[in-house]
Amino acid sequence: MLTIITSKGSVEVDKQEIVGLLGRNGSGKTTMLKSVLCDSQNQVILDGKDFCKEKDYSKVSLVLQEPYSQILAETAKEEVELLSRYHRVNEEIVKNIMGEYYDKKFLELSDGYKRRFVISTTLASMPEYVLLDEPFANLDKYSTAEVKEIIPKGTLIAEHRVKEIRDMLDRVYLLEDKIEEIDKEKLYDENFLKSHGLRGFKLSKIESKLGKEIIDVQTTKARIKVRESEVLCLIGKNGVGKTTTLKQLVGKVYVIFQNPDLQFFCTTVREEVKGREDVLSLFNLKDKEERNPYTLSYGEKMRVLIASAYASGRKVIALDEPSVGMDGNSLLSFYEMIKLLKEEKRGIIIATHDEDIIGMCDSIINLDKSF
Amino acid sequence: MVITITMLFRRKGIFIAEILITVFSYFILSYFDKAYLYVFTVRAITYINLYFIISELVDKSTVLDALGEKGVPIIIALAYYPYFFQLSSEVSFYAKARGIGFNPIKISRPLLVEMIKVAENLYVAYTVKLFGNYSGKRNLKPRTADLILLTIGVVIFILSLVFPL
Repeated sequence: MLTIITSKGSVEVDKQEIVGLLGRNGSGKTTMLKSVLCDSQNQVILDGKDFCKEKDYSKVSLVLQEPYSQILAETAKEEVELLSRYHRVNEEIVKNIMGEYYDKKFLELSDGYKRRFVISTTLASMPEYVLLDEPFANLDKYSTAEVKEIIPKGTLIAEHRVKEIRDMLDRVYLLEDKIEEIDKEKLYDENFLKSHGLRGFKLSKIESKLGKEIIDVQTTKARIKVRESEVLCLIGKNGVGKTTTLKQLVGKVYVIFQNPDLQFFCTTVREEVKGREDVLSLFNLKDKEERNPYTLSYGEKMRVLIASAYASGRKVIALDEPSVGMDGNSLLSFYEMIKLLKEEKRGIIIATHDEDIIGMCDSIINLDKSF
Repeated sequence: MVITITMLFRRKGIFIAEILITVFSYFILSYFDKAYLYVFTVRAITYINLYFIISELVDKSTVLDALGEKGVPIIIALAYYPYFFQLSSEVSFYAKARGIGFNPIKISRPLLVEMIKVAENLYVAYTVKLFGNYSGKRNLKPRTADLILLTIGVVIFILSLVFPL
């Protein structure tokens, strides 16, 4: 049995179960999983003994959210070879999980296989317990299935994406002001999910009158026409060309790409929105105007990016997978921002594979007929 | 420089950019009567190209065989060069999309933040994956790829002595 004890309570994982640790962004899920690094006040008890006395990572391992910053070699094969110079590894586990991509370069893999890369190289050391931090972040339903099938027993999964994990959990904890074990049935209750800042509910369409056409552009994949107050969605699985299509619209449309941290070039929120007091008030950013954008939560960062898009004066704003890092609260806040943009008669293009937000779309272009 | 540029022919962007830099820098420096500085352009491009080439061709096992545990950070760094190259391209594109001109300070901010994030996560990966004691045996016998790289390096060195600019 693995037990992680914090000031908010404790979480237990048995070798034969998959346990969920749910909580909104910022609730402390990652901090809790990182207890196994033994540099916090939290206690980790493994089979009755203090894990931090010996820190035996052959028994407990950890996989964080971003796969690209956890690789130790260019291919899974090279990484297994590197690991084998330190301890015993089971190469077959990695070969089975990666299949034909065993010796393919990490950057050339699909999102699902990138995640499989980091999980399989962790499982190669045959730990008894694995802690996974948001393993389904930014995965479409196909990639999610590719990752779900390799998660072993003895796993603790920290997530706010409830739909992706509720059918695979044996038990589940909710992390808020305290840690509480909850009934799995609650994970099917949308009101429960909304009230606790979790994902698993769908956004509905914002009724509004559509105005005149603002842009009409032919890209390589589709013809993009957007009217005032319209939400046009480009949908399809990862890799189908949504981002490429948006890149072709740069110059005609203000595009907000996927990773907010790569799109801040100023030192304060105020500078990002070009000093516009009206924009700061409109987007509830007055209390954050002197803060560095990098210090904000994911939802707040998206708010700043959308505010700066608004401040640019561009009639059409495009967003590339805006909901990937959002918990339930951020999603509801995002809904309000889209409502505001519609009221201001801006056109909105959303490229997404997230079925939770497709309901918001006034019109849809499906770039992938199999989606 | 010519040999190393030729070896990068598959990387069309770098290949074309370096040829253009080579040609234009020669003419610009000649125009301002500073042709004697051209040797630095040549050296800089050669060193940069050698880094690109080595990161693609180097046999990671050889590095570990030769350097032991001290080679592990090199292997890991080589794994991240393609990622940071891709990142730089993305950030440059986003800066251009935002109408930010050539402003190294502004453009470097997101790259620095990302480097710190990678470093933090890499520390975790290092800790939980590379547990135990390193036990690889030193093997200094060169492999075929090592001999090819050594030969290229020697040829370049000799050429730089025979044909000094």
